[in-house]
Amino acid sequence: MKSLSFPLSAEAEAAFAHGAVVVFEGRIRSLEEGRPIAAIRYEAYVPMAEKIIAALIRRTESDFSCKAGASHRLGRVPVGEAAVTVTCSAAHREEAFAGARFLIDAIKAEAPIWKADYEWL
Amino acid sequence: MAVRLLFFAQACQWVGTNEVRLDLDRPVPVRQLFELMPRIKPHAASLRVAVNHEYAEPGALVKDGDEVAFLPPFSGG
Repeated sequence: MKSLSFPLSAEAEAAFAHGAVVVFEGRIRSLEEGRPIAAIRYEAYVPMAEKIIAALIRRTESDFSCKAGASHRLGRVPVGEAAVTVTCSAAHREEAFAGARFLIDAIKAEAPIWKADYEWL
Repeated sequence: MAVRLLFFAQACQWVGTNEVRLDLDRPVPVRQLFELMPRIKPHAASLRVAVNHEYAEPGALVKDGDEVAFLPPFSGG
């Protein structure tokens, strides 16, 4: 498995009542503690991560009146590429930004996913 | 009875493997698993434990067929 994926529902995208879409990408930076890297390898406890992220998405949608999706790559992710993506759509930007912020913070805090290795240059 | 133990990230480095099958005579509390594994015991305070994909307290009983995961602090994203 190469990624945990929870796409924003097509129904949400088609619901033209939503005028605001926020997409957050967490990309791999070129330095780790000041030292250059080429990539990071991620691992996850997949069944539990899927369960937790699905629940966080439902909570985001309920608390922020939005539709939300997320994905997280597993395995090797090179510098410059996105390891994690969160998408949030809502009627207006206030909910979309707040929902996206909540969801990325929650995934980072609560999903059993780890940076398993750094590929040092 | 056989229990499947899974180790992730640093826990895998400490134990030297990502999976161990443990044969137990009877159900045991989670805290006793640490007693049975000297390489992981010193790190017990930093690990969350999940039994069958649900977080478990130290006193929760682990029984035949259970899957126990030892989870270091998360670093996703």
